[in-house]
Amino acid sequence: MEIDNVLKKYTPMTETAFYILLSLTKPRHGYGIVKHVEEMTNARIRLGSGTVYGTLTKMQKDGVITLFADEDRKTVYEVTDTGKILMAAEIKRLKELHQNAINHEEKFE
Amino acid sequence: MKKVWRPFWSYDIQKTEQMISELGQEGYLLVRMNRWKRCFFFEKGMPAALSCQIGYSRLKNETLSEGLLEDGWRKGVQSGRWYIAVNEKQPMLLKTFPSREGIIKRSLQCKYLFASILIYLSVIAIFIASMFSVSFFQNTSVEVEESPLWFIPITAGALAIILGMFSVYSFLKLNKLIKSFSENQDPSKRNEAFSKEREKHLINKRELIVKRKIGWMYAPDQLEKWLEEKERKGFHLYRVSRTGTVFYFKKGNPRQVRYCADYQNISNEQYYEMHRDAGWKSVFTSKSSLQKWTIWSREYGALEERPNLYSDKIHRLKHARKIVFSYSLLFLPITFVYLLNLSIFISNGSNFGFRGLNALNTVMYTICIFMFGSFVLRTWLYYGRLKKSSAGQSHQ
Repeated sequence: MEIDNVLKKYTPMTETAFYILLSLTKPRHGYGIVKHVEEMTNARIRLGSGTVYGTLTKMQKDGVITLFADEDRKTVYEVTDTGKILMAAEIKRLKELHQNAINHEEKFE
Repeated sequence: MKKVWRPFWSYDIQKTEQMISELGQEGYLLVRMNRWKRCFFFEKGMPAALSCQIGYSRLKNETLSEGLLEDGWRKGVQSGRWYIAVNEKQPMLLKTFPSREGIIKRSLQCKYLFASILIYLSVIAIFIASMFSVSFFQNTSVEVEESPLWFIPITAGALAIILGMFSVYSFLKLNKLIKSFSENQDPSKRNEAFSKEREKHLINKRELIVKRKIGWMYAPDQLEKWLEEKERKGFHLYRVSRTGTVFYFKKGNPRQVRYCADYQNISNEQYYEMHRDAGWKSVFTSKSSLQKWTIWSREYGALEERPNLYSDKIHRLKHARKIVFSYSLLFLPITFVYLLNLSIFISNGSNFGFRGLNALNTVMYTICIFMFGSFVLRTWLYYGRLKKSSAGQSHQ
Protein backbone atom coordinates (compact mmCIF):
# COMPACT_ATOMS: atom_id res chain seq x y z
CA MET A 1 0.00 0.00 0.00
CA GLU A 2 1.15 3.54 -0.72
CA ILE A 3 2.50 5.38 2.31
CA ASP A 4 -0.09 8.17 1.99
CA ASN A 5 -2.92 5.65 2.09
CA VAL A 6 -1.40 3.92 5.09
CA LEU A 7 -1.15 7.25 6.93
CA LYS A 8 -4.73 8.11 6.04
CA LYS A 9 -6.01 4.71 7.12
CA TYR A 10 -4.10 4.41 10.40
CA THR A 11 -3.96 7.90 11.87
CA PRO A 12 -5.19 8.79 14.39
CA MET A 13 -4.45 5.38 15.85
CA THR A 14 -6.49 3.57 18.43
CA GLU A 15 -4.73 2.98 21.71
CA THR A 16 -4.64 -0.74 20.96
CA ALA A 17 -3.03 -0.34 17.54
CA PHE A 18 -0.57 2.26 18.86
CA TYR A 19 0.69 0.10 21.70
CA ILE A 20 0.91 -3.00 19.51
CA LEU A 21 3.13 -1.14 17.03
CA LEU A 22 5.04 0.57 19.81
CA SER A 23 6.02 -2.80 21.28
CA LEU A 24 7.65 -3.79 18.01
CA THR A 25 10.80 -1.79 18.77
CA LYS A 26 12.34 -5.21 18.33
CA PRO A 27 10.85 -8.31 16.68
CA ARG A 28 8.50 -10.12 19.04
CA HIS A 29 6.17 -13.11 19.21
CA GLY A 30 2.44 -12.46 19.39
CA TYR A 31 2.25 -13.18 23.09
CA GLY A 32 5.44 -11.18 23.63
CA ILE A 33 3.51 -8.15 22.36
CA VAL A 34 0.71 -8.78 24.88
CA LYS A 35 3.20 -9.05 27.75
CA HIS A 36 5.15 -5.99 26.66
CA VAL A 37 2.06 -3.80 26.38
CA GLU A 38 1.01 -4.95 29.84
CA GLU A 39 4.42 -3.94 31.22
CA MET A 40 4.45 -0.57 29.46
CA THR A 41 1.01 0.41 30.74
CA ASN A 42 1.39 -1.07 34.25
CA ALA A 43 -1.25 -3.68 33.46
CA ARG A 44 -3.81 -1.02 32.51
CA ILE A 45 -4.14 -2.55 29.06
CA ARG A 46 -4.47 -6.31 28.91
CA LEU A 47 -4.82 -7.16 25.23
CA GLY A 48 -6.86 -10.15 24.23
CA SER A 49 -5.15 -12.48 21.79
CA GLY A 50 -8.03 -12.11 19.32
CA THR A 51 -7.58 -8.37 19.30
CA VAL A 52 -3.83 -8.68 18.74
CA TYR A 53 -4.29 -11.27 16.01
CA GLY A 54 -6.87 -9.15 14.22
CA THR A 55 -4.74 -6.02 14.39
CA LEU A 56 -1.55 -7.78 13.27
CA THR A 57 -3.32 -9.49 10.36
CA LYS A 58 -4.63 -6.15 9.14
CA MET A 59 -1.26 -4.44 9.58
CA GLN A 60 0.50 -7.21 7.70
CA LYS A 61 -1.94 -6.94 4.82
CA ASP A 62 -1.18 -3.22 4.57
CA GLY A 63 2.58 -3.74 4.76
CA VAL A 64 2.97 -2.01 8.12
CA ILE A 65 4.51 -5.11 9.67
CA THR A 66 6.07 -8.27 8.31
CA LEU A 67 6.70 -11.67 9.81
CA PHE A 68 9.20 -14.50 9.77
CA ALA A 69 9.73 -17.74 11.68
CA ASP A 70 12.34 -18.30 14.36
CA GLU A 71 14.32 -21.49 15.03
CA ASP A 72 11.35 -23.10 16.80
CA ARG A 73 9.24 -22.22 13.75
CA LYS A 74 7.28 -19.72 15.80
CA THR A 75 6.07 -16.54 14.18
CA VAL A 76 7.97 -13.33 14.90
CA TYR A 77 6.51 -9.94 13.99
CA GLU A 78 8.62 -7.03 12.84
CA VAL A 79 7.82 -3.47 11.84
CA THR A 80 8.54 -2.54 8.19
CA ASP A 81 9.91 0.75 6.84
CA THR A 82 6.32 1.78 6.08
CA GLY A 83 5.44 1.00 9.68
CA LYS A 84 8.33 3.12 10.92
CA ILE A 85 7.18 6.12 8.87
CA LEU A 86 3.66 5.64 10.19
CA MET A 87 4.86 5.45 13.78
CA ALA A 88 7.03 8.57 13.38
CA ALA A 89 4.04 10.50 12.04
CA GLU A 90 1.79 9.30 14.84
CA ILE A 91 4.36 10.10 17.53
CA LYS A 92 4.72 13.60 16.08
CA ARG A 93 0.95 14.04 16.29
CA LEU A 94 0.88 12.76 19.86
CA LYS A 95 3.71 15.12 20.84
CA GLU A 96 1.68 18.06 19.59
CA LEU A 97 -1.31 16.75 21.51
CA HIS A 98 0.81 16.36 24.61
CA GLN A 99 2.29 19.84 24.30
CA ASN A 100 -1.11 21.46 23.84
CA ALA A 101 -2.51 19.49 26.76
CA ILE A 102 0.21 20.84 29.02
CA ASN A 103 -0.16 24.40 27.70
CA HIS A 104 -3.85 24.54 28.41
CA GLU A 105 -4.02 22.29 31.45
CA GLU A 106 -4.55 24.96 34.12
CA LYS A 107 -7.47 26.56 32.32
CA PHE A 108 -9.54 23.48 33.05
CA GLU A 109 -8.74 23.24 36.74
CA MET B 1 23.94 -22.20 -18.16
CA LYS B 2 21.73 -25.00 -16.94
CA LYS B 3 17.99 -24.98 -17.44
CA VAL B 4 15.64 -26.99 -15.25
CA TRP B 5 12.00 -27.36 -16.18
CA ARG B 6 9.64 -28.12 -13.31
CA PRO B 7 6.01 -27.83 -14.47
CA PHE B 8 4.53 -28.34 -11.00
CA TRP B 9 7.22 -26.75 -8.89
CA SER B 10 4.82 -24.77 -6.74
CA TYR B 11 2.99 -27.94 -5.66
CA ASP B 12 6.21 -29.41 -4.26
CA ILE B 13 7.79 -26.40 -2.62
CA GLN B 14 10.08 -28.43 -0.38
CA LYS B 15 11.32 -30.60 -3.26
CA THR B 16 12.01 -27.53 -5.39
CA GLU B 17 13.97 -25.96 -2.52
CA GLN B 18 15.92 -29.17 -2.13
CA MET B 19 16.73 -29.21 -5.84
CA ILE B 20 18.08 -25.65 -5.71
CA SER B 21 20.19 -26.45 -2.63
CA GLU B 22 21.58 -29.63 -4.19
CA LEU B 23 22.47 -27.90 -7.43
CA GLY B 24 24.18 -25.24 -5.32
CA GLN B 25 26.39 -27.90 -3.80
CA GLU B 26 27.32 -29.00 -7.30
CA GLY B 27 28.27 -25.43 -8.11
CA TYR B 28 25.17 -24.34 -9.98
CA LEU B 29 23.77 -21.07 -8.72
CA LEU B 30 20.25 -19.96 -9.42
CA VAL B 31 20.27 -16.74 -11.44
CA ARG B 32 16.80 -16.48 -12.91
CA MET B 33 13.40 -18.07 -12.91
CA ASN B 34 10.50 -17.81 -15.28
CA ARG B 35 7.31 -18.68 -13.52
CA TRP B 36 5.24 -18.76 -16.75
CA LYS B 37 7.53 -21.19 -18.54
CA ARG B 38 8.18 -22.91 -15.18
CA CYS B 39 11.92 -22.82 -15.76
CA PHE B 40 14.84 -22.28 -13.42
CA PHE B 41 18.17 -21.08 -14.82
CA PHE B 42 21.48 -21.87 -13.15
CA GLU B 43 25.00 -20.64 -13.80
CA LYS B 44 28.20 -22.57 -13.07
CA GLY B 45 30.16 -21.15 -10.18
CA MET B 46 31.81 -22.22 -6.95
CA PRO B 47 30.16 -25.14 -5.15
CA ALA B 48 28.52 -23.84 -1.98
CA ALA B 49 26.38 -25.34 0.71
CA LEU B 50 23.39 -23.10 0.93
CA SER B 51 19.95 -23.05 2.42
CA CYS B 52 17.10 -22.06 0.23
CA GLN B 53 13.53 -21.17 0.96
CA ILE B 54 10.75 -20.19 -1.41
CA GLY B 55 8.41 -17.44 -0.33
CA TYR B 56 5.31 -15.71 -1.64
CA SER B 57 4.35 -12.23 -0.66
CA ARG B 58 1.24 -10.33 -1.62
CA LEU B 59 3.21 -7.10 -1.63
CA LYS B 60 5.39 -7.22 -4.71
CA ASN B 61 9.08 -6.42 -4.25
CA GLU B 62 8.78 -6.39 -0.50
CA THR B 63 12.23 -6.49 1.06
CA LEU B 64 13.06 -9.26 3.47
CA SER B 65 12.59 -8.35 7.12
CA GLU B 66 15.56 -7.08 9.09
CA GLY B 67 15.57 -10.16 11.25
CA LEU B 68 16.08 -12.32 8.19
CA LEU B 69 18.72 -10.04 6.67
CA GLU B 70 20.71 -10.08 9.91
CA ASP B 71 20.67 -13.86 9.87
CA GLY B 72 22.23 -13.84 6.39
CA TRP B 73 19.18 -14.32 4.21
CA ARG B 74 18.93 -12.48 0.95
CA LYS B 75 16.50 -12.53 -1.91
CA GLY B 76 18.11 -14.62 -4.63
CA VAL B 77 15.59 -14.38 -7.39
CA GLN B 78 12.21 -12.75 -7.67
CA SER B 79 9.49 -13.49 -10.18
CA GLY B 80 6.18 -11.78 -9.67
CA ARG B 81 5.10 -12.37 -6.11
CA TRP B 82 7.31 -15.41 -5.76
CA TYR B 83 10.81 -15.09 -4.43
CA ILE B 84 13.59 -17.44 -3.53
CA ALA B 85 15.56 -16.55 -0.43
CA VAL B 86 19.00 -18.05 -0.02
CA ASN B 87 21.38 -18.22 2.90
CA GLU B 88 24.99 -19.34 2.77
CA LYS B 89 24.70 -20.91 6.22
CA GLN B 90 24.02 -24.57 6.75
CA PRO B 91 20.38 -25.28 7.62
CA MET B 92 21.31 -26.34 11.17
CA LEU B 93 22.92 -22.99 11.92
CA LEU B 94 19.93 -20.90 10.91
CA LYS B 95 18.02 -18.93 13.51
CA THR B 96 15.31 -17.51 11.29
CA PHE B 97 13.22 -18.63 8.35
CA PRO B 98 11.01 -16.73 5.90
CA SER B 99 7.37 -17.25 6.77
CA ARG B 100 5.35 -19.87 4.90
CA GLU B 101 2.20 -17.87 5.50
CA GLY B 102 2.03 -16.34 2.00
CA ILE B 103 2.41 -19.70 0.26
CA ILE B 104 -0.24 -21.29 2.48
CA LYS B 105 -2.70 -18.49 1.75
CA ARG B 106 -2.10 -18.66 -1.98
CA SER B 107 -2.36 -22.45 -2.01
CA LEU B 108 -5.66 -22.25 -0.16
CA GLN B 109 -7.03 -19.81 -2.74
CA CYS B 110 -5.88 -22.05 -5.60
CA LYS B 111 -7.39 -25.05 -3.85
CA TYR B 112 -10.78 -23.33 -3.68
CA LEU B 113 -10.48 -22.30 -7.32
CA PHE B 114 -9.86 -25.88 -8.45
CA ALA B 115 -12.63 -27.15 -6.19
CA SER B 116 -15.11 -24.75 -7.78
CA ILE B 117 -13.96 -25.75 -11.28
CA LEU B 118 -14.59 -29.38 -10.32
CA ILE B 119 -18.04 -28.59 -8.95
CA TYR B 120 -18.90 -26.66 -12.12
CA LEU B 121 -17.69 -29.47 -14.39
CA SER B 122 -19.55 -32.15 -12.44
CA VAL B 123 -22.80 -30.15 -12.55
CA ILE B 124 -22.50 -30.00 -16.34
CA ALA B 125 -21.58 -33.69 -16.50
CA ILE B 126 -24.58 -34.66 -14.38
CA PHE B 127 -26.84 -32.50 -16.54
CA ILE B 128 -25.64 -34.15 -19.76
CA ALA B 129 -25.79 -37.62 -18.21
CA SER B 130 -29.33 -37.07 -16.98
CA MET B 131 -30.43 -35.90 -20.44
CA PHE B 132 -29.04 -39.09 -21.99
CA SER B 133 -30.47 -41.31 -19.29
CA VAL B 134 -33.94 -39.82 -19.73
CA SER B 135 -33.91 -40.63 -23.44
CA PHE B 136 -32.43 -44.04 -22.61
CA PHE B 137 -35.19 -44.99 -20.17
CA GLN B 138 -37.91 -43.68 -22.45
CA ASN B 139 -36.53 -45.96 -25.16
CA THR B 140 -36.24 -43.16 -27.65
CA SER B 141 -33.18 -43.83 -29.72
CA VAL B 142 -30.57 -41.12 -29.76
CA GLU B 143 -29.91 -40.10 -33.30
CA VAL B 144 -26.46 -38.99 -34.13
CA GLU B 145 -26.47 -36.44 -36.84
CA GLU B 146 -23.48 -36.45 -39.17
CA SER B 147 -21.94 -33.04 -39.12
CA PRO B 148 -18.58 -31.56 -40.05
CA LEU B 149 -18.80 -29.46 -36.87
CA TRP B 150 -18.65 -32.47 -34.55
CA PHE B 151 -15.05 -31.68 -33.74
CA ILE B 152 -16.26 -28.73 -31.62
CA PRO B 153 -18.14 -30.67 -28.91
CA ILE B 154 -15.55 -33.46 -29.02
CA THR B 155 -12.63 -31.11 -28.44
CA ALA B 156 -14.66 -29.24 -25.81
CA GLY B 157 -15.39 -32.53 -24.07
CA ALA B 158 -11.76 -33.61 -24.24
CA LEU B 159 -10.64 -30.25 -22.88
CA ALA B 160 -13.16 -30.54 -20.06
CA ILE B 161 -11.84 -33.99 -19.15
CA ILE B 162 -8.23 -32.74 -19.19
CA LEU B 163 -9.21 -29.72 -17.11
CA GLY B 164 -11.08 -31.98 -14.70
CA MET B 165 -8.11 -34.32 -14.26
CA PHE B 166 -5.75 -31.38 -13.83
CA SER B 167 -8.06 -29.90 -11.20
CA VAL B 168 -8.23 -33.17 -9.26
CA TYR B 169 -4.45 -33.47 -9.36
CA SER B 170 -3.94 -29.84 -8.31
CA PHE B 171 -6.51 -30.09 -5.55
CA LEU B 172 -4.89 -33.15 -4.01
CA LYS B 173 -1.35 -31.79 -4.38
CA LEU B 174 -2.25 -28.43 -2.86
CA ASN B 175 -4.04 -30.10 0.01
CA LYS B 176 -0.93 -32.13 0.75
CA LEU B 177 1.26 -29.04 0.53
CA ILE B 178 -0.92 -27.05 2.94
CA LYS B 179 -0.95 -29.97 5.38
CA SER B 180 2.83 -30.30 5.21
CA PHE B 181 3.19 -26.67 6.31
CA SER B 182 0.71 -26.67 9.14
CA GLU B 183 1.22 -28.57 12.33
CA ASN B 184 -2.04 -27.49 13.87
CA GLN B 185 -2.13 -29.97 16.72
CA ASP B 186 -2.89 -28.98 20.25
CA PRO B 187 -0.41 -30.93 22.37
CA SER B 188 -2.49 -30.50 25.51
CA LYS B 189 -5.52 -32.19 23.98
CA ARG B 190 -4.31 -35.53 22.76
CA ASN B 191 -3.29 -37.33 25.95
CA GLU B 192 -6.69 -36.75 27.50
CA ALA B 193 -8.75 -38.76 25.07
CA PHE B 194 -10.47 -42.01 26.04
CA SER B 195 -10.93 -44.91 23.68
CA LYS B 196 -14.37 -45.37 22.10
CA GLU B 197 -15.21 -48.40 24.30
CA ARG B 198 -14.15 -46.64 27.48
CA GLU B 199 -16.25 -43.66 26.45
CA LYS B 200 -19.34 -45.86 25.97
CA HIS B 201 -18.72 -47.47 29.33
CA LEU B 202 -18.47 -44.09 31.03
CA ILE B 203 -21.63 -42.87 29.34
CA ASN B 204 -23.50 -45.94 30.66
CA LYS B 205 -22.13 -45.29 34.14
CA ARG B 206 -23.34 -41.69 33.82
CA GLU B 207 -19.87 -40.34 34.37
CA LEU B 208 -19.89 -38.87 30.89
CA ILE B 209 -22.89 -36.80 29.98
CA VAL B 210 -23.81 -36.22 26.36
CA LYS B 211 -25.66 -33.10 25.30
CA ARG B 212 -26.67 -32.02 21.84
CA LYS B 213 -26.55 -28.43 20.71
CA ILE B 214 -27.43 -27.66 17.11
CA GLY B 215 -27.14 -24.30 15.44
CA TRP B 216 -25.09 -22.65 18.17
CA MET B 217 -23.08 -20.72 15.59
CA TYR B 218 -26.02 -18.38 15.10
CA ALA B 219 -25.87 -17.39 18.77
CA PRO B 220 -22.30 -18.10 19.95
CA ASP B 221 -22.69 -15.98 23.07
CA GLN B 222 -25.41 -18.31 24.32
CA LEU B 223 -23.18 -21.33 23.75
CA GLU B 224 -20.42 -19.66 25.76
CA LYS B 225 -22.86 -18.94 28.59
CA TRP B 226 -24.17 -22.50 28.52
CA LEU B 227 -20.70 -24.06 28.67
CA GLU B 228 -19.56 -21.71 31.45
CA GLU B 229 -22.71 -22.52 33.45
CA LYS B 230 -22.02 -26.25 33.01
CA GLU B 231 -18.47 -25.81 34.34
CA ARG B 232 -19.77 -23.89 37.35
CA LYS B 233 -21.99 -26.89 38.14
CA GLY B 234 -19.01 -29.22 37.85
CA PHE B 235 -19.47 -30.56 34.35
CA HIS B 236 -16.17 -30.25 32.55
CA LEU B 237 -16.33 -30.14 28.78
CA TYR B 238 -14.28 -33.13 27.75
CA ARG B 239 -14.78 -33.27 24.03
CA VAL B 240 -16.89 -31.98 21.14
CA SER B 241 -17.87 -34.22 18.26
CA ARG B 242 -16.28 -33.61 14.87
CA THR B 243 -19.43 -31.98 13.57
CA GLY B 244 -19.55 -29.64 16.56
CA THR B 245 -23.06 -30.60 17.60
CA VAL B 246 -22.48 -33.14 20.40
CA PHE B 247 -20.87 -32.03 23.65
CA TYR B 248 -19.43 -34.55 26.14
CA PHE B 249 -19.12 -33.50 29.79
CA LYS B 250 -17.16 -35.24 32.54
CA LYS B 251 -18.32 -34.95 36.14
CA GLY B 252 -15.92 -33.16 38.44
CA ASN B 253 -15.50 -30.19 40.73
CA PRO B 254 -16.99 -26.80 39.89
CA ARG B 255 -14.58 -24.64 37.92
CA GLN B 256 -14.42 -21.14 36.54
CA VAL B 257 -13.75 -21.50 32.85
CA ARG B 258 -14.16 -18.91 30.15
CA TYR B 259 -15.33 -20.19 26.77
CA CYS B 260 -15.05 -18.20 23.56
CA ALA B 261 -16.52 -19.32 20.25
CA ASP B 262 -14.52 -17.61 17.53
CA TYR B 263 -15.25 -17.36 13.82
CA GLN B 264 -12.60 -16.80 11.15
CA ASN B 265 -12.90 -16.72 7.39
CA ILE B 266 -9.42 -18.13 6.97
CA SER B 267 -7.52 -19.24 10.02
CA ASN B 268 -3.81 -19.90 9.84
CA GLU B 269 -0.95 -21.15 11.96
CA GLN B 270 -0.41 -17.74 13.54
CA TYR B 271 -4.00 -17.72 14.74
CA TYR B 272 -3.63 -20.92 16.76
CA GLU B 273 -0.14 -20.01 17.92
CA MET B 274 -1.26 -16.63 19.26
CA HIS B 275 -4.18 -17.96 21.29
CA ARG B 276 -2.35 -21.00 22.62
CA ASP B 277 0.59 -18.89 23.76
CA ALA B 278 -1.82 -16.60 25.58
CA GLY B 279 -3.13 -19.58 27.56
CA TRP B 280 -6.20 -20.61 25.56
CA LYS B 281 -6.96 -24.23 24.74
CA SER B 282 -8.86 -25.17 21.62
CA VAL B 283 -11.73 -27.47 22.49
CA PHE B 284 -13.16 -27.64 19.02
CA THR B 285 -12.11 -26.64 15.51
CA SER B 286 -14.52 -27.11 12.64
CA LYS B 287 -13.20 -29.14 9.74
CA SER B 288 -15.08 -27.21 7.08
CA SER B 289 -13.11 -24.54 5.34
CA LEU B 290 -15.97 -22.14 4.70
CA GLN B 291 -17.06 -21.58 8.28
CA LYS B 292 -14.05 -21.94 10.48
CA TRP B 293 -15.23 -22.08 14.06
CA THR B 294 -12.95 -22.61 17.02
CA ILE B 295 -14.10 -22.93 20.61
CA TRP B 296 -11.42 -21.71 23.00
CA SER B 297 -11.38 -22.35 26.73
CA ARG B 298 -9.38 -20.94 29.59
CA GLU B 299 -9.65 -21.60 33.30
CA TYR B 300 -9.30 -18.62 35.61
CA GLY B 301 -9.03 -18.10 39.35
CA ALA B 302 -11.65 -16.63 41.66
CA LEU B 303 -9.79 -13.35 41.97
CA GLU B 304 -8.80 -13.11 38.34
CA GLU B 305 -10.56 -11.01 35.76
CA ARG B 306 -12.73 -12.96 33.32
CA PRO B 307 -10.50 -13.40 30.27
CA ASN B 308 -11.66 -12.31 26.84
CA LEU B 309 -10.44 -13.19 23.38
CA TYR B 310 -11.29 -9.67 22.28
CA SER B 311 -10.29 -7.16 24.91
CA ASP B 312 -11.89 -4.14 23.29
CA LYS B 313 -15.29 -3.23 21.96
CA ILE B 314 -14.13 -2.48 18.42
CA HIS B 315 -12.73 -5.93 17.78
CA ARG B 316 -15.55 -7.69 19.62
CA LEU B 317 -18.16 -6.02 17.42
CA LYS B 318 -16.02 -6.49 14.32
CA HIS B 319 -15.93 -10.21 14.98
CA ALA B 320 -19.70 -10.31 15.49
CA ARG B 321 -20.23 -8.35 12.26
CA LYS B 322 -18.17 -10.93 10.39
CA ILE B 323 -20.55 -13.65 11.61
CA VAL B 324 -23.65 -11.62 10.77
CA PHE B 325 -22.46 -10.74 7.26
CA SER B 326 -21.27 -14.26 6.46
CA TYR B 327 -24.51 -15.93 7.47
CA SER B 328 -26.71 -13.23 5.97
CA LEU B 329 -24.85 -13.59 2.69
CA LEU B 330 -25.27 -17.35 2.86
CA PHE B 331 -28.90 -17.65 3.95
CA LEU B 332 -30.72 -14.50 2.79
CA PRO B 333 -30.56 -15.43 -0.93
CA ILE B 334 -31.81 -18.94 -0.12
CA THR B 335 -34.65 -17.53 1.94
CA PHE B 336 -35.64 -15.20 -0.89
CA VAL B 337 -35.63 -17.98 -3.46
CA TYR B 338 -37.91 -20.05 -1.23
CA LEU B 339 -40.16 -17.05 -0.64
CA LEU B 340 -40.44 -16.58 -4.39
CA ASN B 341 -41.22 -20.26 -4.89
CA LEU B 342 -43.78 -20.17 -2.12
CA SER B 343 -45.60 -17.21 -3.60
CA ILE B 344 -45.76 -19.02 -6.96
CA PHE B 345 -47.12 -22.15 -5.26
CA ILE B 346 -49.67 -20.17 -3.30
CA SER B 347 -50.94 -18.40 -6.40
CA ASN B 348 -51.09 -21.79 -8.15
CA GLY B 349 -52.84 -23.25 -5.14
CA SER B 350 -55.46 -20.53 -5.00
CA ASN B 351 -56.21 -21.15 -8.67
CA PHE B 352 -56.23 -24.94 -8.68
CA GLY B 353 -56.73 -25.85 -5.02
CA PHE B 354 -54.23 -27.13 -2.43
CA ARG B 355 -54.02 -30.84 -2.97
CA GLY B 356 -51.39 -33.55 -2.83
CA LEU B 357 -47.94 -32.54 -3.96
CA ASN B 358 -48.83 -28.88 -4.14
CA ALA B 359 -49.86 -28.76 -0.49
CA LEU B 360 -46.77 -30.72 0.58
CA ASN B 361 -44.50 -28.34 -1.32
CA THR B 362 -46.16 -25.32 0.25
CA VAL B 363 -45.58 -26.73 3.73
CA MET B 364 -41.96 -27.65 2.94
CA TYR B 365 -41.21 -24.22 1.54
CA THR B 366 -42.72 -22.55 4.58
CA ILE B 367 -40.54 -24.66 6.88
CA CYS B 368 -37.42 -23.80 4.86
CA ILE B 369 -38.20 -20.10 4.91
CA PHE B 370 -38.62 -20.13 8.67
CA MET B 371 -35.47 -22.21 9.17
CA PHE B 372 -33.10 -20.17 7.00
CA GLY B 373 -34.77 -16.94 8.02
CA SER B 374 -34.30 -17.83 11.68
CA PHE B 375 -30.57 -18.40 11.14
CA VAL B 376 -30.20 -14.88 9.81
CA LEU B 377 -32.46 -13.41 12.47
CA ARG B 378 -30.59 -15.15 15.27
CA THR B 379 -27.21 -13.77 14.15
CA TRP B 380 -28.70 -10.26 14.03
CA LEU B 381 -30.15 -10.72 17.51
CA TYR B 382 -26.74 -11.90 18.69
CA TYR B 383 -25.17 -8.76 17.28
CA GLY B 384 -27.79 -6.65 19.00
CA ARG B 385 -27.16 -8.31 22.37
CA LEU B 386 -23.42 -7.79 22.01
CA LYS B 387 -23.81 -4.16 21.04
CA LYS B 388 -26.07 -3.54 24.01
CA SER B 389 -23.77 -5.27 26.50
CA SER B 390 -20.70 -3.40 25.29
CA ALA B 391 -22.45 -0.03 25.05
CA GLY B 392 -21.43 0.94 28.56
CA GLN B 393 -17.82 0.01 27.98
CA SER B 394 -15.13 2.55 27.34
CA HIS B 395 -13.71 3.02 23.92
CA GLN B 396 -10.21 1.64 23.57
